[in-house]
Amino acid sequence: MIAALEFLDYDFMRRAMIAALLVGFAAPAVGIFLVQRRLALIGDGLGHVAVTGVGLGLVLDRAPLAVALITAVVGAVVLELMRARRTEIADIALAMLFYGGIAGGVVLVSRAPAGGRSLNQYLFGSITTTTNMDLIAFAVLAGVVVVVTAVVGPALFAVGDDEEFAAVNGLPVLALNLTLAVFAAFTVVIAMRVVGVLLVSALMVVPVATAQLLARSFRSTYLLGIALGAGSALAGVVASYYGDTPSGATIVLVAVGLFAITLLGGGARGLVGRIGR
Amino acid sequence: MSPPALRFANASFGYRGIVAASADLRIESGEVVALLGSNGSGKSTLVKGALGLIDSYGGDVEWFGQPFDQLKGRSVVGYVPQRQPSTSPIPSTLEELVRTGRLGRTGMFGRYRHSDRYEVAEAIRTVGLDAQHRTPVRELSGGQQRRALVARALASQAKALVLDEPFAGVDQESQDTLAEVFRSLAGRGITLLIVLHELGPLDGVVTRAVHLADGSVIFDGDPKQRSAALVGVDGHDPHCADAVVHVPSTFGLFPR
Repeated sequence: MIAALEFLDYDFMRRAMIAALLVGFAAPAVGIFLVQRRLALIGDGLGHVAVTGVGLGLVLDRAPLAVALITAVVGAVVLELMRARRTEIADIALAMLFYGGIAGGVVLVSRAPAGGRSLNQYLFGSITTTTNMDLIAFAVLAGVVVVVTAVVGPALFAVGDDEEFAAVNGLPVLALNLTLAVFAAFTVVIAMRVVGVLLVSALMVVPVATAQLLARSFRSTYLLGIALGAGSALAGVVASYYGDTPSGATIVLVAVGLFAITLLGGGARGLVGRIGR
Repeated sequence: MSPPALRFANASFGYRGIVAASADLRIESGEVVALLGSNGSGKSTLVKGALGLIDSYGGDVEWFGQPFDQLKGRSVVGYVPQRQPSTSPIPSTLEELVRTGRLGRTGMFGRYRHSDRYEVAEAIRTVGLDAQHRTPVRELSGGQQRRALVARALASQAKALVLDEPFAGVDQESQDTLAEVFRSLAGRGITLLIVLHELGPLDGVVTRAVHLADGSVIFDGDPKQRSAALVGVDGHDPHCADAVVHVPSTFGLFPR
């Protein structure tokens, strides 16, 4: 093995690389539709709700990821239904759900046998502890997310662009928005093992934010966002190995660094030429 | 006898249990109808009600003889909302925007075929933006963006278009260009229902004016007769705000 790739000699690093790649692909594929709707931070909210699921799983001694997935999906559906109804209290209700979610998780974890130590890996990510079973779950979830967002992408784009026009055109607006919310929950649950709940939105938003600086169409933003997400995740894992830094935070710093370089490169559009379709 | 393009049969619409607009109208295929009135008169409420976007509180609406939610191929009705399209932080090209109008034909799982690509290109050509088809929508002028929305509605090969204040925030030159587009569509037999404050550049294109005040139709007839008929009504004279112009049945009102 080439010396520079020595990290691939370790099973845990190979698993970490695969997990990073899966999250790097899936997060921007969902994130672009959230950013389009100006819901970039909803991933953070769902992450908070998922913490309660983790706590519940630890207390009940059931798979925390599975319980977190169920909790996040329920939270996503409730959030979307409240948004659709546009009630005056929707904003406050969202805040209650977010704060209640993380507070509930902290309290539940304190009652779990493993205590707070377990919570840390969900708050800050713990990609190097990824198991083969985790990888299978990540692969299934990421596969579903990428395939479905690609298949119904034009309809999701239409609804995000103009809900009224989409409704007149016969598209099932609520069903599509619920699908997106549920997929955001899927992505949050995968990503929280990789980058942690506190940074869960970063991989959904930052690669897309970088891509939109360079691209001139929705399609090219989508493809470039996925490439940047996967690239940032892989580069972050490798950098964290050599720098002995937390992997989740390193991945996010790589993604933010790419955004800063693109932005400061400034006239990247003019100099490099805009990426067309 | 073919059914009318649009028929309001004692239809009422509103928000949160309060009726904001009512109408009893019949619009024939190929008509170019201006829905006029001051702010809050119920114009937008009426067209949103016709498109199923707000609550109905009685009566019926039919497009081409069928309730809108049961219309086979909803794509026969195109909608051009009042908003500008370039509010998203993600760039999208004119072609991508117009292509969403095709979803009414293809469905969300349908393949985007060569014929769909042709219809999208044709809709863009109709509004005179062929040279900008790969331009990000946010780089288009306000008038061009409004034409882009018209192209999106046309992409489904609509037989009727509903346009909500298409001239709002658009400069005079763009208004004139849009008016030419509408004249061309009318010439192709497409039914147009256009929400307006004033006829402006559409004077001569509009074949029928329907004026609303306080949610009710107070004039329905020849656009040239509207001003004379409305003297003392709907802001022309506040002391006569409740007056109603009696409209001959030949103007299309159903007998009550």
